[in-house]
Amino acid sequence: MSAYREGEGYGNVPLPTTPQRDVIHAGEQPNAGEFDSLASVLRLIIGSMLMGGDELRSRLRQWEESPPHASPPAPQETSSDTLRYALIGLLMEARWRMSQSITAAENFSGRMAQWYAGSLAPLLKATPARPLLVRIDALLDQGRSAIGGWVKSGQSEEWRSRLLAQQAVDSILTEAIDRLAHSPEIRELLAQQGTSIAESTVDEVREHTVSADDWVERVVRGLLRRPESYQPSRPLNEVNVIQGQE
Amino acid sequence: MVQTSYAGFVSRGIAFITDLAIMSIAVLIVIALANSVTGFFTLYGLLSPGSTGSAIVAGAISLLSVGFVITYPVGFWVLFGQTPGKYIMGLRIVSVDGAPLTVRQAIRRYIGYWISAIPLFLGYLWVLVDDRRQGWHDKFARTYVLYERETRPHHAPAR
Repeated sequence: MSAYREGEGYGNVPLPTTPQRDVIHAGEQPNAGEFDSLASVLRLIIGSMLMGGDELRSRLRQWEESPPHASPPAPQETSSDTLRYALIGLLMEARWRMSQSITAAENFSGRMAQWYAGSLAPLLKATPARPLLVRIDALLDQGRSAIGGWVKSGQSEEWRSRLLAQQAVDSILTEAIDRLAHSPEIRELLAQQGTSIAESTVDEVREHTVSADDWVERVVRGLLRRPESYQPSRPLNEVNVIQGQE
Repeated sequence: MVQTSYAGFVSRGIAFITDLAIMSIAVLIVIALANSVTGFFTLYGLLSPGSTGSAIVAGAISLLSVGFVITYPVGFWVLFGQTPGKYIMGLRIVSVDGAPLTVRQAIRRYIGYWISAIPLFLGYLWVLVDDRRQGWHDKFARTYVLYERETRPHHAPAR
Protein backbone atom coordinates (compact mmCIF):
# COMPACT_ATOMS: atom_id res chain seq x y z
CA MET A 1 0.00 0.00 0.00
CA SER A 2 1.64 3.23 -1.09
CA ALA A 3 1.42 6.22 1.15
CA TYR A 4 -0.37 9.33 0.12
CA ARG A 5 2.01 12.10 -1.01
CA GLU A 6 0.88 15.60 -1.54
CA GLY A 7 0.64 16.53 -5.19
CA GLU A 8 1.13 12.98 -6.29
CA GLY A 9 -1.72 11.04 -4.76
CA TYR A 10 -1.50 7.36 -3.99
CA GLY A 11 1.04 5.36 -5.90
CA ASN A 12 0.97 6.04 -9.63
CA VAL A 13 -2.67 7.12 -9.85
CA PRO A 14 -2.55 10.69 -11.13
CA LEU A 15 -4.48 13.34 -9.35
CA PRO A 16 -7.33 14.87 -11.27
CA THR A 17 -6.57 18.41 -12.31
CA THR A 18 -8.40 20.89 -10.12
CA PRO A 19 -9.89 23.96 -11.74
CA GLN A 20 -8.03 27.14 -10.69
CA ARG A 21 -10.12 29.26 -8.36
CA ASP A 22 -9.79 32.97 -8.05
CA VAL A 23 -8.71 33.14 -4.44
CA ILE A 24 -8.10 36.68 -3.25
CA HIS A 25 -4.85 36.64 -1.36
CA ALA A 26 -3.83 39.00 1.42
CA GLY A 27 -3.40 42.54 0.22
CA GLU A 28 -4.57 41.71 -3.28
CA GLN A 29 -7.60 43.32 -4.79
CA PRO A 30 -9.36 42.44 -8.02
CA ASN A 31 -8.94 46.00 -9.24
CA ALA A 32 -6.58 47.75 -6.86
CA GLY A 33 -6.83 51.09 -8.66
CA GLU A 34 -10.61 51.41 -8.42
CA PHE A 35 -12.50 52.44 -5.35
CA ASP A 36 -14.94 49.77 -4.32
CA SER A 37 -17.56 51.43 -2.15
CA LEU A 38 -19.27 48.17 -1.24
CA ALA A 39 -16.00 46.66 -0.03
CA SER A 40 -15.27 49.81 1.98
CA VAL A 41 -18.70 49.81 3.59
CA LEU A 42 -18.29 46.14 4.39
CA ARG A 43 -14.87 46.80 5.90
CA LEU A 44 -16.29 49.68 7.92
CA ILE A 45 -19.09 47.48 9.26
CA ILE A 46 -16.71 44.64 10.10
CA GLY A 47 -14.19 47.01 11.69
CA SER A 48 -16.89 48.71 13.74
CA MET A 49 -18.23 45.37 14.92
CA LEU A 50 -14.75 44.16 15.88
CA MET A 51 -13.92 47.40 17.69
CA GLY A 52 -17.29 47.48 19.38
CA GLY A 53 -16.95 43.85 20.40
CA ASP A 54 -13.47 44.44 21.85
CA GLU A 55 -14.65 47.49 23.72
CA LEU A 56 -17.74 45.71 25.06
CA ARG A 57 -15.66 42.72 26.16
CA SER A 58 -13.15 44.96 27.91
CA ARG A 59 -15.92 46.90 29.66
CA LEU A 60 -17.70 43.75 30.71
CA ARG A 61 -14.46 42.38 32.16
CA GLN A 62 -13.90 45.62 34.06
CA TRP A 63 -17.45 45.63 35.43
CA GLU A 64 -17.24 42.00 36.44
CA GLU A 65 -13.88 42.49 38.14
CA SER A 66 -14.93 45.61 40.05
CA PRO A 67 -15.98 44.75 43.60
CA PRO A 68 -19.72 44.76 44.22
CA HIS A 69 -20.84 47.93 45.98
CA ALA A 70 -24.20 46.69 47.12
CA SER A 71 -24.88 43.60 49.20
CA PRO A 72 -27.53 41.13 48.01
CA PRO A 73 -31.09 42.20 48.85
CA ALA A 74 -32.70 41.16 52.10
CA PRO A 75 -34.67 37.91 52.08
CA GLN A 76 -37.99 39.79 52.33
CA GLU A 77 -39.41 39.56 48.85
CA THR A 78 -42.71 39.48 47.04
CA SER A 79 -43.93 36.72 44.75
CA SER A 80 -43.03 38.75 41.66
CA ASP A 81 -39.51 39.15 43.03
CA THR A 82 -39.27 35.39 43.51
CA LEU A 83 -40.47 34.78 39.96
CA ARG A 84 -37.95 37.26 38.60
CA TYR A 85 -35.10 35.66 40.57
CA ALA A 86 -36.19 32.23 39.37
CA LEU A 87 -36.19 33.36 35.73
CA ILE A 88 -32.77 34.94 36.07
CA GLY A 89 -31.46 31.81 37.77
CA LEU A 90 -32.98 29.63 35.05
CA LEU A 91 -31.43 31.75 32.34
CA MET A 92 -27.98 31.52 33.89
CA GLU A 93 -28.40 27.79 34.52
CA ALA A 94 -29.52 27.28 30.90
CA ARG A 95 -26.45 29.12 29.62
CA TRP A 96 -24.18 26.96 31.77
CA ARG A 97 -25.94 23.74 30.75
CA MET A 98 -25.81 24.72 27.09
CA SER A 99 -22.08 25.30 27.22
CA GLN A 100 -21.65 21.95 29.01
CA SER A 101 -23.79 20.24 26.39
CA ILE A 102 -21.79 21.77 23.56
CA THR A 103 -18.55 20.55 25.10
CA ALA A 104 -20.03 17.08 25.60
CA ALA A 105 -21.34 17.05 22.01
CA GLU A 106 -17.91 18.04 20.71
CA ASN A 107 -16.25 15.23 22.65
CA PHE A 108 -18.84 12.74 21.48
CA SER A 109 -18.54 13.75 17.82
CA GLY A 110 -14.75 13.51 18.07
CA ARG A 111 -14.96 10.05 19.53
CA MET A 112 -17.49 8.97 16.90
CA ALA A 113 -15.27 10.27 14.09
CA GLN A 114 -12.36 8.31 15.49
CA TRP A 115 -14.48 5.18 15.74
CA TYR A 116 -15.77 5.56 12.17
CA ALA A 117 -12.30 6.20 10.82
CA GLY A 118 -11.01 3.10 12.60
CA SER A 119 -13.91 0.98 11.35
CA LEU A 120 -13.80 2.18 7.75
CA ALA A 121 -10.00 2.18 7.37
CA PRO A 122 -9.70 -1.43 6.09
CA LEU A 123 -12.55 -0.85 3.66
CA LEU A 124 -11.06 2.36 2.30
CA LYS A 125 -7.62 0.83 1.98
CA ALA A 126 -9.03 -1.83 -0.31
CA THR A 127 -7.91 -1.40 -3.94
CA PRO A 128 -11.40 -0.93 -5.48
CA ALA A 129 -12.03 2.05 -3.23
CA ARG A 130 -8.77 3.77 -4.20
CA PRO A 131 -10.12 6.02 -6.99
CA LEU A 132 -12.88 7.18 -4.69
CA LEU A 133 -10.34 7.93 -1.98
CA VAL A 134 -8.20 9.87 -4.44
CA ARG A 135 -11.18 11.96 -5.49
CA ILE A 136 -12.07 12.69 -1.85
CA ASP A 137 -8.48 13.73 -1.17
CA ALA A 138 -8.54 16.04 -4.18
CA LEU A 139 -11.74 17.65 -2.93
CA LEU A 140 -10.22 18.01 0.53
CA ASP A 141 -7.16 19.64 -0.98
CA GLN A 142 -9.33 22.02 -2.91
CA GLY A 143 -11.29 22.87 0.25
CA ARG A 144 -8.09 23.33 2.28
CA SER A 145 -6.68 25.62 -0.36
CA ALA A 146 -9.85 27.69 -0.45
CA ILE A 147 -10.02 27.92 3.32
CA GLY A 148 -6.33 28.87 3.44
CA GLY A 149 -7.02 31.67 0.99
CA TRP A 150 -9.97 32.88 3.02
CA VAL A 151 -7.91 32.85 6.21
CA LYS A 152 -5.13 34.83 4.58
CA SER A 153 -7.57 37.27 3.05
CA GLY A 154 -9.51 37.48 6.34
CA GLN A 155 -6.37 38.32 8.29
CA SER A 156 -5.56 41.15 5.94
CA GLU A 157 -9.16 42.33 5.75
CA GLU A 158 -9.56 42.33 9.51
CA TRP A 159 -6.54 44.56 9.86
CA ARG A 160 -7.80 46.87 7.12
CA SER A 161 -11.32 46.92 8.58
CA ARG A 162 -10.02 47.81 12.04
CA LEU A 163 -7.83 50.51 10.55
CA LEU A 164 -10.72 51.94 8.54
CA ALA A 165 -13.09 51.90 11.53
CA GLN A 166 -10.43 53.53 13.74
CA GLN A 167 -9.83 56.18 11.11
CA ALA A 168 -13.58 56.76 10.78
CA VAL A 169 -14.02 57.10 14.56
CA ASP A 170 -11.01 59.42 14.89
CA SER A 171 -12.11 61.52 11.96
CA ILE A 172 -15.70 61.79 13.21
CA LEU A 173 -14.52 62.64 16.72
CA THR A 174 -12.06 65.26 15.49
CA GLU A 175 -14.68 66.75 13.22
CA ALA A 176 -17.29 66.78 16.00
CA ILE A 177 -14.89 68.42 18.46
CA ASP A 178 -13.82 70.91 15.81
CA ARG A 179 -17.43 71.70 15.01
CA LEU A 180 -18.25 72.12 18.69
CA ALA A 181 -15.21 74.30 19.26
CA HIS A 182 -16.14 76.57 16.36
CA SER A 183 -19.85 76.61 17.04
CA PRO A 184 -20.82 80.14 18.13
CA GLU A 185 -23.60 78.78 20.38
CA ILE A 186 -21.22 76.47 22.25
CA ARG A 187 -18.59 79.18 22.57
CA GLU A 188 -21.19 81.58 23.88
CA LEU A 189 -22.39 78.96 26.34
CA LEU A 190 -18.85 78.29 27.57
CA ALA A 191 -18.11 82.00 27.87
CA GLN A 192 -21.35 82.53 29.78
CA GLN A 193 -20.54 79.66 32.08
CA GLY A 194 -17.01 80.96 32.68
CA THR A 195 -18.30 84.45 33.36
CA SER A 196 -21.01 83.24 35.69
CA ILE A 197 -18.49 81.11 37.63
CA ALA A 198 -16.14 84.09 37.97
CA GLU A 199 -19.03 86.32 38.99
CA SER A 200 -20.30 83.90 41.59
CA THR A 201 -16.76 83.47 42.99
CA VAL A 202 -16.28 87.22 43.28
CA ASP A 203 -19.72 87.56 44.87
CA GLU A 204 -18.85 84.91 47.40
CA VAL A 205 -15.56 86.64 48.25
CA ARG A 206 -17.43 89.92 48.68
CA GLU A 207 -20.00 88.32 50.97
CA HIS A 208 -17.24 86.84 53.12
CA THR A 209 -15.35 90.12 53.35
CA VAL A 210 -18.49 91.97 54.44
CA SER A 211 -18.83 89.48 57.30
CA ALA A 212 -15.10 89.82 58.03
CA ASP A 213 -15.46 93.61 58.12
CA ASP A 214 -18.07 93.36 60.87
CA TRP A 215 -16.22 90.66 62.79
CA VAL A 216 -12.87 92.51 62.83
CA GLU A 217 -14.57 95.73 63.82
CA ARG A 218 -16.43 94.01 66.65
CA VAL A 219 -13.18 92.45 67.95
CA VAL A 220 -11.28 95.75 67.84
CA ARG A 221 -14.11 97.64 69.50
CA GLY A 222 -14.30 94.93 72.15
CA LEU A 223 -10.57 95.26 72.84
CA LEU A 224 -10.83 99.02 73.06
CA ARG A 225 -14.02 98.76 75.11
CA ARG A 226 -15.81 101.00 72.70
CA PRO A 227 -19.53 100.53 72.20
CA GLU A 228 -20.59 98.85 68.99
CA SER A 229 -21.29 101.48 66.40
CA TYR A 230 -24.55 102.13 64.69
CA GLN A 231 -23.77 102.55 61.05
CA PRO A 232 -26.36 104.69 59.41
CA SER A 233 -27.01 103.11 56.04
CA ARG A 234 -27.19 105.10 52.87
CA PRO A 235 -29.62 104.66 50.03
CA LEU A 236 -28.20 102.40 47.35
CA ASN A 237 -29.66 104.54 44.59
CA GLU A 238 -27.14 107.19 45.65
CA VAL A 239 -24.44 104.86 44.42
CA ASN A 240 -26.47 103.82 41.41
CA VAL A 241 -27.09 107.43 40.45
CA ILE A 242 -23.35 108.00 40.46
CA GLN A 243 -22.87 104.90 38.35
CA GLY A 244 -25.49 106.14 35.92
CA GLN A 245 -23.67 109.40 35.49
CA GLU A 246 -20.61 107.69 34.09
CA MET B 1 -35.79 101.95 49.84
CA VAL B 2 -32.80 99.71 49.10
CA GLN B 3 -29.99 100.49 51.50
CA THR B 4 -26.25 100.07 51.46
CA SER B 5 -23.69 100.78 54.15
CA TYR B 6 -20.14 101.96 54.72
CA ALA B 7 -17.42 99.57 53.64
CA GLY B 8 -15.29 98.03 56.37
CA PHE B 9 -11.59 97.57 56.98
CA VAL B 10 -11.12 94.09 55.49
CA SER B 11 -12.86 94.82 52.18
CA ARG B 12 -11.00 98.09 51.81
CA GLY B 13 -7.70 96.48 52.80
CA ILE B 14 -8.06 93.74 50.18
CA ALA B 15 -8.98 96.33 47.55
CA PHE B 16 -5.94 98.40 48.52
CA ILE B 17 -3.58 95.41 48.31
CA THR B 18 -5.04 94.46 44.92
CA ASP B 19 -4.40 97.98 43.64
CA LEU B 20 -0.85 97.90 45.00
CA ALA B 21 -0.23 94.62 43.17
CA ILE B 22 -1.59 96.04 39.91
CA MET B 23 0.51 99.20 40.27
CA SER B 24 3.66 97.22 41.11
CA ILE B 25 3.26 94.99 38.07
CA ALA B 26 2.65 98.00 35.82
CA VAL B 27 5.70 99.85 37.19
CA LEU B 28 7.85 96.74 36.79
CA ILE B 29 6.78 96.44 33.15
CA VAL B 30 7.59 100.11 32.53
CA ILE B 31 11.03 99.75 34.15
CA ALA B 32 11.78 96.57 32.19
CA LEU B 33 10.81 98.27 28.92
CA ALA B 34 12.87 101.35 29.76
CA ASN B 35 15.86 99.16 30.62
CA SER B 36 15.53 97.39 27.29
CA VAL B 37 15.46 100.70 25.44
CA THR B 38 18.46 102.15 27.33
CA GLY B 39 20.28 98.85 26.89
CA PHE B 40 19.72 99.10 23.15
CA PHE B 41 21.17 102.62 22.99
CA THR B 42 24.07 101.71 25.32
CA LEU B 43 24.93 99.00 22.87
CA TYR B 44 25.32 101.57 20.12
CA GLY B 45 27.47 103.83 22.34
CA LEU B 46 24.84 106.57 22.58
CA LEU B 47 24.35 106.17 26.33
CA SER B 48 27.43 105.10 28.21
CA PRO B 49 26.84 103.80 31.75
CA GLY B 50 27.32 106.57 34.34
CA SER B 51 26.99 109.38 31.77
CA THR B 52 24.62 112.35 32.04
CA GLY B 53 22.38 110.85 29.40
CA SER B 54 21.94 107.68 31.42
CA ALA B 55 21.16 109.71 34.56
CA ILE B 56 18.51 111.65 32.65
CA VAL B 57 16.93 108.46 31.37
CA ALA B 58 16.94 106.95 34.89
CA GLY B 59 15.39 110.14 36.27
CA ALA B 60 12.74 110.10 33.55
CA ILE B 61 11.86 106.52 34.38
CA SER B 62 11.57 107.36 38.08
CA LEU B 63 9.37 110.37 37.33
CA LEU B 64 7.21 108.25 35.05
CA SER B 65 6.80 105.64 37.79
CA VAL B 66 5.95 108.24 40.42
CA GLY B 67 3.52 109.91 38.05
CA PHE B 68 1.84 106.58 37.39
CA VAL B 69 1.56 105.76 41.09
CA ILE B 70 -0.18 109.13 41.65
CA THR B 71 -2.38 109.22 38.57
CA TYR B 72 -3.55 105.62 38.89
CA PRO B 73 -5.70 106.11 42.02
CA VAL B 74 -6.59 109.76 41.40
CA GLY B 75 -7.61 109.11 37.80
CA PHE B 76 -9.71 106.07 38.65
CA TRP B 77 -11.43 107.83 41.59
CA VAL B 78 -12.41 110.80 39.47
CA LEU B 79 -13.34 108.95 36.30
CA PHE B 80 -14.99 105.83 37.70
CA GLY B 81 -15.44 106.40 41.43
CA GLN B 82 -13.44 103.25 42.08
CA THR B 83 -10.06 101.71 41.35
CA PRO B 84 -9.82 98.20 39.82
CA GLY B 85 -9.23 96.77 43.31
CA LYS B 86 -12.33 98.47 44.68
CA TYR B 87 -14.28 97.34 41.62
CA ILE B 88 -13.37 93.73 42.34
CA MET B 89 -14.41 94.12 45.97
CA GLY B 90 -17.62 95.95 45.00
CA LEU B 91 -16.77 99.25 46.66
CA ARG B 92 -17.30 102.82 45.54
CA ILE B 93 -16.02 106.17 46.80
CA VAL B 94 -18.47 109.05 46.98
CA SER B 95 -18.46 112.56 48.44
CA VAL B 96 -20.28 113.00 51.71
CA ASP B 97 -23.16 114.53 49.72
CA GLY B 98 -23.29 111.46 47.41
CA ALA B 99 -21.74 113.20 44.41
CA PRO B 100 -18.78 111.81 42.47
CA LEU B 101 -15.32 112.89 43.56
CA THR B 102 -13.84 116.06 42.10
CA VAL B 103 -10.18 116.22 41.08
CA ARG B 104 -9.48 118.41 44.12
CA GLN B 105 -11.12 115.86 46.43
CA ALA B 106 -9.22 113.01 44.79
CA ILE B 107 -5.88 114.81 45.24
CA ARG B 108 -6.75 115.62 48.87
CA ARG B 109 -7.61 111.97 49.42
CA TYR B 110 -4.31 110.88 47.91
CA ILE B 111 -2.37 113.28 50.16
CA GLY B 112 -4.51 111.93 52.99
CA TYR B 113 -3.21 108.45 52.23
CA TRP B 114 0.31 109.57 53.13
CA ILE B 115 -0.86 111.47 56.19
CA SER B 116 -2.76 108.36 57.37
CA ALA B 117 0.35 106.22 56.85
CA ILE B 118 2.83 108.42 58.77
CA PRO B 119 1.72 107.60 62.37
CA LEU B 120 2.13 103.83 61.92
CA PHE B 121 -0.90 103.63 59.62
CA LEU B 122 -3.16 104.86 62.40
CA GLY B 123 -5.17 106.84 59.83
CA TYR B 124 -6.09 103.62 58.06
CA LEU B 125 -6.85 101.77 61.28
CA TRP B 126 -9.26 104.56 62.16
CA VAL B 127 -11.75 102.85 59.85
CA LEU B 128 -12.18 100.21 62.57
CA VAL B 129 -13.40 102.61 65.22
CA ASP B 130 -15.15 105.28 63.20
CA ASP B 131 -18.94 105.19 63.13
CA ARG B 132 -18.97 105.92 59.40
CA ARG B 133 -15.92 103.75 58.79
CA GLN B 134 -13.92 106.73 57.54
CA GLY B 135 -10.12 106.79 57.57
CA TRP B 136 -8.26 110.03 58.08
CA HIS B 137 -7.91 110.40 54.30
CA ASP B 138 -11.70 110.08 53.98
CA LYS B 139 -12.25 112.76 56.59
CA PHE B 140 -9.62 114.98 54.98
CA ALA B 141 -11.24 114.67 51.53
CA ARG B 142 -14.84 114.48 52.89
CA THR B 143 -15.56 111.11 51.27
CA TYR B 144 -17.20 107.83 52.15
CA VAL B 145 -16.47 104.33 50.85
CA LEU B 146 -19.70 102.38 50.31
CA TYR B 147 -20.61 98.85 49.32
CA GLU B 148 -22.01 98.85 45.80
CA ARG B 149 -24.78 96.41 46.63
CA GLU B 150 -27.58 96.10 49.13
CA THR B 151 -26.35 95.61 52.66
CA ARG B 152 -27.89 96.07 56.07
CA PRO B 153 -26.26 97.66 59.08
CA HIS B 154 -25.17 94.81 61.30
CA HIS B 155 -24.96 96.67 64.53
CA ALA B 156 -27.88 97.66 66.65
CA PRO B 157 -27.97 101.24 67.90
CA ALA B 158 -25.88 101.57 71.04
CA ARG B 159 -28.32 102.94 73.57
